[in-house]
Amino acid sequence: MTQQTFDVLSPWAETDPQPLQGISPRLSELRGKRIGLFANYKRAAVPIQDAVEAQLRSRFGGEVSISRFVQTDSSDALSSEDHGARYARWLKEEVDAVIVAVGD
Amino acid sequence: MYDTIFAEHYHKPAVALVNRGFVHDARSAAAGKGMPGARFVPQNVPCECTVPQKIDAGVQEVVGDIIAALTTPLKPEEVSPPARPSEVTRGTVFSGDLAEVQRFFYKRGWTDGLPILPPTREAVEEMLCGTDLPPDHVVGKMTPRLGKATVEKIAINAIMAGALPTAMPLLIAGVDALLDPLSSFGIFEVSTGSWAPFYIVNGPIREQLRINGSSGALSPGDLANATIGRAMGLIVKNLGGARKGLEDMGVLGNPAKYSMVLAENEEDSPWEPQHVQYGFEPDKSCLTVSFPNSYLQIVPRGTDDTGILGTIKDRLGSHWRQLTLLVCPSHAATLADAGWTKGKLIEHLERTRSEVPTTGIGRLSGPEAVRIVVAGGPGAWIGVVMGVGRWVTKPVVLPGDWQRLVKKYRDYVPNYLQY
Repeated sequence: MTQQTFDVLSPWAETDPQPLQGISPRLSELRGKRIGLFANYKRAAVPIQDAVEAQLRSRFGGEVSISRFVQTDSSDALSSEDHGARYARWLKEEVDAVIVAVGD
Repeated sequence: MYDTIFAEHYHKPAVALVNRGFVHDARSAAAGKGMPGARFVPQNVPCECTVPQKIDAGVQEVVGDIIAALTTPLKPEEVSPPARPSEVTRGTVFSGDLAEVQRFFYKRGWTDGLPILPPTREAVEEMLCGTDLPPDHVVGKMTPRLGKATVEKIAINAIMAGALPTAMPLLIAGVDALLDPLSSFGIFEVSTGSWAPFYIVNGPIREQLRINGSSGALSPGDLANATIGRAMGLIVKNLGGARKGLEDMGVLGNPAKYSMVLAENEEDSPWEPQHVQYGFEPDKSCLTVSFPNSYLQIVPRGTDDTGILGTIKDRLGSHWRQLTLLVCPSHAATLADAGWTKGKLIEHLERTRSEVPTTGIGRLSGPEAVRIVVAGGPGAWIGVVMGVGRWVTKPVVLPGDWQRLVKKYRDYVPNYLQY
C-alpha cells in the first residue's frame, strides 16, 4: 500500500522582529546606595524581602538604605497603568538598584 | 521577570529572585520581552512559602549571588544581546506520510499529545472558508511569546485539532476573548494554579455547529465541543508559546486544558440566556470565556428550591471567589417555578460568601462573582465551576456565505446504532 505524502504547514506563530535590549550598567558596590526591594502580590514575596533586608543589614549595616515597594494587584508593571505608574515613580525617585521577589 | 525588565527600562540595575523550578520560565519571559540578559538568581525558597526559617535559609544561601548580580560588570552579550536564530514559520515545514507527520509535530512540541490531522495547504484553504478575514489578518499577539495570531495560523491549529471550517468564527472570537485584558489570560495561561479556559457558547451557532449543551455536554463525543476547545489549546501553545513545564507552570495541570466547551441549553431554560443577560441580542451568537480550575458535580439533598440551594451553599462554604453554576433543566424549572430568576440566584449565592480570597485580581461582586448557566440533560446534578477571574463575552462574526458552509457540514454527526 502506498502512503500518501503530506506537505504540512507550521502551526508555530511568527513574531515581529523585536529590538533586543541590553541591561543597565551595574553598581560598583552597594555601600552608600539606595536598594529597592520589590515584592509582588504573592504571599511569600514580602517575607522573602524581609529576609533579604536582614541579610543586607547584616553585611552592610546602615551603609545601604532600603526602600520597599509592594505590588497591590496581579498585573505586572508592563500591563498595568496604575501599578506601572506607581512603580515607575518609585524607581525614578527612590532607588539606585532593585531586587525583585515574586513569591514563586 | 516583567517587573525586573521594567526596572531596567528605567536604567536601574535589577535582579529577580526566581525559584529553581521556574528558571526556564524566567528565561522565556525575559527573551519574550526583548531583554534576554535580564539577571536572575535561582533560589530554593519553596513556592508560596510561609515558613520563616525556610525563607531565611533560602535567601541566606543566595545573598552573595544577589549582590554579585547587582555589582558584577556586564558581559558583552548583556550589553548588546546577539540576535536569536529565527524560526521558520512560513511555507512547508515538513513532508512525510501520516505517521511521519505525527512524529515530526510531536517531537517539535506542537501537539497536545494526541494525534493531529496534517495541516496541508488544501486543508487550510478549506478552513479559511469559515471567515471573511484575510489569512494574514492579525487578531492579536498572544503572550507570553507575543506570537501573531493570524487567521491562517488559527486555521492551521484548528485543522490539527480536527475542527471543521464552521468553527473558525468561534476560534477567532475565542482568541479575541483571551486577548481582552479583562480575561487575565496572560496570568491564567501560565499560572501555577492550572486555570483552564472554559468556553460557553450562546446563540444560533450552537445549533448550527451542533455544540452540545444537553446530556454529557462536557464529556467526549461531540465533534464541536471536543475540537473547538482542543484547537484553542493548540492556539495558546503554538501562537502564545505557553508550553507546560516551560512557560505554563501549572503545578498539577488540568484535564480541562484539552477541551472544556459547552453550549448553554437555551431551549430547556426558563430564563434568558447568558449572552442576553449581559447585553447581546438573542439571535446573536456569542462566546464566553473564563478560567476556572475546578469542576465539582453535586446532587442536591432535596429537589425543591430549598434542597437545591441549601446543598449548593453547603458545598461552596464561605471562602470562594468566582462561580459558574451549571443548572440542569429540571432544577432550573424547579427554581423558576419557585420564583427564582438568574438575578435573584446570583444575589443569593453571593451572599453566601463571608470571606473572599485575596488573589490580587481585585474584588468581584454581584454579576462579576456568579454566573448561572443552564446546561445538561435529564437528571438532577448541579455543576459547580470555580475560578477567581472574570468572564469575557465576545460576539461571533460570521462569513458572508455562512449558511452554505453550515449546510455543507451539517450532516457530519455520529449516528449511534441501537443495540
